[in-house]
Order: sequence, then C-alpha cells, then structure tokens
Amino acid sequence: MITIEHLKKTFKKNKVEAVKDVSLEVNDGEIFALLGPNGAGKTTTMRMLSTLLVPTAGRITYDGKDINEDMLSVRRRIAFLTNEIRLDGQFSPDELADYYGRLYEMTEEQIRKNKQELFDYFGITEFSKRRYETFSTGMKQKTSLAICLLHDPDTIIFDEPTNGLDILTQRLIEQYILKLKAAGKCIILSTHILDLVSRLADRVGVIVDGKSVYCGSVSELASSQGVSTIDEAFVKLYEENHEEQAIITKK
Amino acid sequence: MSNNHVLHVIRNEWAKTLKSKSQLLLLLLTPFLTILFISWGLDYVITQTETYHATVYFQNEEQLTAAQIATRDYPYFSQVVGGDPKKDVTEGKTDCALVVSDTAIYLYYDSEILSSANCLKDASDLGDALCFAFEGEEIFLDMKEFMPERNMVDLSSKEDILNSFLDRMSGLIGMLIFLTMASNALSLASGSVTGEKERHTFDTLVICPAPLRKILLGKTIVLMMEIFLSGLVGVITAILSFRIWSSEYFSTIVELTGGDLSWIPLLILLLMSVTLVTTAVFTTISSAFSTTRKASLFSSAGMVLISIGSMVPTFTKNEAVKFFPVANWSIAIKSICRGQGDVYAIGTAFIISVLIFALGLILSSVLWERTNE
Repeated sequence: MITIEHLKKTFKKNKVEAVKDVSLEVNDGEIFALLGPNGAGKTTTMRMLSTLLVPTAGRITYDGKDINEDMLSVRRRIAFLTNEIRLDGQFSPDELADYYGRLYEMTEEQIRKNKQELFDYFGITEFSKRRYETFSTGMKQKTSLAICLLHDPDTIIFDEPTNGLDILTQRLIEQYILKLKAAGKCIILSTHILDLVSRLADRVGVIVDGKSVYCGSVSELASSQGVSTIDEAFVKLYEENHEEQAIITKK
Repeated sequence: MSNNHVLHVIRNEWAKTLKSKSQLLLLLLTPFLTILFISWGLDYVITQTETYHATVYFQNEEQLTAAQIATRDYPYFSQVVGGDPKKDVTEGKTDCALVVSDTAIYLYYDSEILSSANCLKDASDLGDALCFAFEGEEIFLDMKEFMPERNMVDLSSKEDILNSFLDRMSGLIGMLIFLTMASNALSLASGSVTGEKERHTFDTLVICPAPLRKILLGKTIVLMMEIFLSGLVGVITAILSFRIWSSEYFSTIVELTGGDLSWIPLLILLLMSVTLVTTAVFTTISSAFSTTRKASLFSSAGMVLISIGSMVPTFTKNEAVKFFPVANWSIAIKSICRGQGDVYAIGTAFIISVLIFALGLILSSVLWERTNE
C-alpha cells in the first residue's frame, strides 16, 4: 500500500510550486489513475513517487515505510515509465535487458527468463539484436516498457504511457496493464484519456493546481459530483478548484 | 552482487565506446595526427627558417683577400684575421667558426648553442668554395692534403644535446599531449555525464537500485581509460616522431640512458595523475548541467584554468611545483626522459590527484542528482 500525505514540491531553481498539497492512498492489486489538467502537478507527483525527486514537504510511504528511509529497497520494488524515457540507442534490447537486469541485481537465469517472456509478449524477440535507435516510436516504447518491467516490480508507475502511440500498441499496453493487475501488482497511471481511466482504473485521484481534490473509486466519481459521466465530473472538479476559474465563478 | 554495480557500468560504458567507432577513432587519431604533424612542423621550422651568425677565421690578410669572391654569397658569415674561434663558439659569440689553416679548413660549432641547421650546411658549402678559391691563388700547399681534412668538431657534450632535445619535447610536444588529454576529457565527460540527461536515459539509470555514486564511478573509470589511452597514444607518437624527425637526438637519448626502462612506470604514473585530475574537473562541471551545450561552455573555462595550471613552471622557479599534479607535467616529463625521474615528487602528485578525483566524484554525485530536478 502506498500512502501520500500532504506532499509538496517547490523547484528552487525557478521558484515554481509544482505540488502544493497532495494526499492519496493506493492499495495493492489495484489500478489507480491520476487525473489532472496540464501543469496540475501529476508528473511531479509521479516523479516523487518514483524516488526521482525529493519532496519539499510531506511524506510518501510504501507499506508503512518512508521512502527516504530506504530508497534503494523501494527502487528494487518499483518501475517507472514515461513516454519521454529513452534507452541508450547504440544497444539492442537484448543488451539493454542484460545491463539493467544486472543493475537490478537479478541472476543471469532470472534475466533470461523474464527477458524472453516480455520480449515475446511485446513482439520484440525478432528485433532483439537490432539497435534501439533504429526502432519506431511504438517499438521504442514497448522496449522501454519491457526493460522497466524486467525485474518484476510490485508497483508500476506509468506517466502517460500510451501518448503518441498507434491504437495497436495502445491496446497491447492496456492488455498488459490488466495482466499486471491480475498478477496482484499495484499500478499507478497518469493520463489525459478519461476513456482509458473508465476502462482500466479501479480508483482515481484528481489533482488541480497542485492540490488533490478527489480520491475515490472511479464508479463513484460522477455520482459524488452530481453528474452522469466522469468527463463532467472532471470538468466540475476543475472549475471548482482551479484558482483563476474559482475567482471568476465567485464573482 | 550489489558490489558489482560499478563493474556492470564499466562493462556497459566500455561496450558503448567500442560501439561508437567514430568516437574511438577520433580519440586515438587526434593525439596521433596532432603530435606527428606538430613534431614534423617543429623540425621543419627549426631547420628551414632560422638565421644565424657565423665567422670565417683567416690566418692572414692574404687569405682574407683571396676569399672575397667566395664569401660574397654568404651574408651571414663575417670575416676576421686571427682571433680565438673555439672560445668565440663556446661563448656564443658566433654560431659556428670556419677556420682556415695552411692545410685544411676546420668547422667549429656548439650544437647546444647552434639552433640553425642551415648554418652548418652553408659553412660546408663555403668551405668548398674557399678550397677552390685558394687553389687558384696557390694558398694551399697541397690540395690532396686539404680536401679530406674538412673536419667538423662539435664542442658540446652529449648531455647538452640531450637537454636541447628534452626542452623541445617537454615544451611544445609535452603541452600538446596534455592538451589532447584535457580536450578529450572535456568532450567525453559532457557526453557521458550530461548526455544521460539530454538523451532522457538518466531516469532509467537513477531509478535502478544502484547508488548513483557507483554508477558515476563506473562511468568515470571508463572515461579515465579513454583519456589515459589518448595520452598514451600521444606519448608513443611523440617517441616515434622524434625517432623519425630527430633521429640524432633520439640516438643520444638511447645511448645516454643505456636502454634503461625504469622511466616507463614513472611516465605511466604521471599520465594517470593528469587523467585523474582532468576527469575529476570535467566530470564535476558536466554533472552540474543538464544540457551538453552549457556543460561544454563551462568546461571550456575549466580547460583554460587547467592549461594555465600546466604552465605554472613558466611563471615560477619554486621547487614545490613538482609535487602538484598538472603543474608538474613539463618538469616531470623532462626529468623522466633524462632518467632522473623523481619518484617521490611524482608519487606525491599522484596521491594528490587521487584525492582530487575522490573529491570530484563526491561533488559530481551530488550535482548530478540535484540537476535532475
């Protein structure tokens, strides 16, 4: 179980308060979707969850343990994937899997077994000896996904994983997310595609202007806002909580 | 297993180097071609462009008069009657002395003072011209006796020759080897360290359960291997160049050192010292930026500082310089080549380099992670 309590992040360099107050709970074996407009602080929250950024204030716990106490053991258990992540272009998926598998302290046998399973699923086996830099965007994303999941993590954090991908690759990734859920993994998903949320997610968290404004089940999101669809619920939450919009509404 | 993180990074980074054929080629060819070309150029400049001041010493006025036509085409030769040619040469009053006796012409020169090869060639030619001129005037008693006795006597010692050679090597060529290493360190560090962020590969790396300092250590070890390799290619090319372009100096070195190879470990220690410092400086600068453009810009400033550091012996005669890495470069090169390498000084500089490297690594780890924000 992952708990986020009053998370805050201010970037000292440009003095931007990207996350002001986010509190969420994510249970084991569920798909949790993080929703929010552009610049709401979703990616910053995801990066703090992945140990890539240190929070300015607040606390993140994995199974009750603060992530700052033993960051390396948290890293062994999680995977983080965004559509921006790239791998070294000179290497083939085969070489990349061997390298990252070793960095994750896996045995050669574990690497071989997991690599074969993931490469077969994502259709990489045929291209496993080719340089990563020669791949198409979709193939690169599938390879990145396979490498990120190689160490069989308990928690998988996806930041807009299907952005810019064709429908076939999107579907393949969606199916794999459901497969991971079936295997009891915890999946945190950040996306703009509300249709994807309604199809995949069990629970949802909404962030507006760096603050969490909703955390609950997807099925209750619409009813809790007194509307019929999650699209309408999202817009309503945004209008009520977005600072400039709230001022206009108040006036 | 966790202890192998550094080893895995080293293997991966080295494989990356071998895969980038153009980078590897550039790494090895740059010092090779630069040193080879500059060595040749240096020899060319010295041989072809320098002027000189030489003197013809006659025994009497009769010889001087008879030589007027012959000496007309040699403006750098002045003419005197009498005098002490050997003294004048050793005191540097004249670059070389062409001495006309009754039976022969002697050419005195000091190779330590003499910097122009043209001087000796012209002196030789003038000697020939004087022979023919004096034959017509019947100054020489017997031409057969004269011709074989046009002797050239080098009054300098072999140590003097060696010093001249070493000054050239440790000066321009030594500095070029050093600058090649530093410039390679600059470009490789920004590509390897800052490049991870620019290529968006940093997140995948940092999220691994390997401490960042171990990943950085692995990377810097490979950087050091590459920089050391470029330095070694530079040194080997310098030796080969001097063997080809300055074979006389080279033979003297071999003769004087008697084939003793104890200079090799000292030279390696010196190269390691420069490698450690340049790696530390450029890795630290590179880790502080998230774009290679900015990293290269600031690394250029670091390059200027390092270059000034290597020129410290030019500004001061303080003995303490030999204990400091980079600053000791030219002094140590010279002493090593003379077979008088100061193990204590080079060893101390190496230990200081290791400390600088360790400090750079700690600072880089902090900066590398911080700039990810």
